[in-house]
Amino acid sequence: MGITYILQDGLFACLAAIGFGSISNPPRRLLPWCGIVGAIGHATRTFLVQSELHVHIIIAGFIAGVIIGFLSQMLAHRKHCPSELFSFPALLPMIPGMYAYGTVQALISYLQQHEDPITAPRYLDLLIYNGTMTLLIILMLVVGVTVPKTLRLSR
Amino acid sequence: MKTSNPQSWQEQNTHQRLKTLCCFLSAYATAMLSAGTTTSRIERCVNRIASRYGVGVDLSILPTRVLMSVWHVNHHHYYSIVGQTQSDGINLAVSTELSLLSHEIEEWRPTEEVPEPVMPIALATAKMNGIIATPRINHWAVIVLTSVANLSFCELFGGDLCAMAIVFVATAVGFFYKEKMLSWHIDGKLVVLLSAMISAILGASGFIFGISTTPETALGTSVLWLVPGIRFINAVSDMLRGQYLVAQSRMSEALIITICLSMGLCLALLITKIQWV
Repeated sequence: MGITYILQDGLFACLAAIGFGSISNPPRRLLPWCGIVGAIGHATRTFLVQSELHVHIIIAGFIAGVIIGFLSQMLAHRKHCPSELFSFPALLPMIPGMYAYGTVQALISYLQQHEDPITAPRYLDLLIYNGTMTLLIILMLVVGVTVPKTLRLSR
Repeated sequence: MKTSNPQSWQEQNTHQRLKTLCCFLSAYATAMLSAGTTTSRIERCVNRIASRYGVGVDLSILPTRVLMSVWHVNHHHYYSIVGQTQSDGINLAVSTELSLLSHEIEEWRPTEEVPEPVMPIALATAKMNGIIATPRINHWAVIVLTSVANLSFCELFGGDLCAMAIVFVATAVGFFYKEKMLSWHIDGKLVVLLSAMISAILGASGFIFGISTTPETALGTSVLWLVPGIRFINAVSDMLRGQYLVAQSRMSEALIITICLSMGLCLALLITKIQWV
């Protein structure tokens, strides 16, 4: 995994943060900043997960959340606006959407095949795993973003 | 009610002032809640404004209501009101500008044109209404930006160029019909289900026509634009600050949307007869 891979990851995460952020109608002048913060956060998580460090995605998400929190606080202080404006769209590319609907899909599959002794335990396992991952990833991302708020840099 | 008693006059003025302030603060708090602002920020902004106007405020934020009482400092007068939220979707611009308005009110200095020591309520209300009426980002721009965002997601999940193109089209078409269905006043949950189904059917093109080496990534990513990310984040953020009722409401809303989009995906798999989990 080289620097090009990380930069590419950051670029696509930037586009994702801007695009998904636009649905929530942030102020247009600040949209690029949401993208930059999102890019740094996502690239950090990718580096931690896929480098030789092999950090678990939940812990890596927490660290990325802390970095996003710090950057959002600094930008909020400079641009005189709430820090959530930067942090929330920046977190969007890291929301575990696949795990979230994987949970519901596993539930449906389990209900369909609960009498099959081979596939039923597999779907039950998927249901618990996906559900737990969804909750913990989101929780740790938001906890990470909240940590820098203790410094109370923003308005 | 007119009276010749000066004390009664003063009380009437005090009560009228409290009523005007309470109506403004209630409209302000409900607008912020409707825009998807975190409860802690709503409380901070409302307290900031109330403190500048020299009144006390008690605020209870419920999932779709805001209960507010504004008190005179001597606690002889109060006015209470219940505000109801509007479901116009999350609006970070409104949330930001209303937050900035609270600072503007706090830092208000008298001018030659407006010599009052505090910002007149009429002026604050006019500014608030102007912020709420600000148009959203152009509808077509949002469709393109969201489609590019989902395309980027597909790349991040390892999709090839064909898969990225499929996801772009699937998102654009799904989003277009979502907006159309919402304009026809179809129920929001049904809209999510149908939009997910449309996006997933188009996202399955890789499987149907064999035009991608990563068709499962295209299909899996095609509905991700519907995942209510901000609602999930807001819910956890409120939960961490002890606002369990609003947190639970926001989390339930996010989960229901996720269930609807998953059902839309399952329906698409049934229609296209694709085995994919």
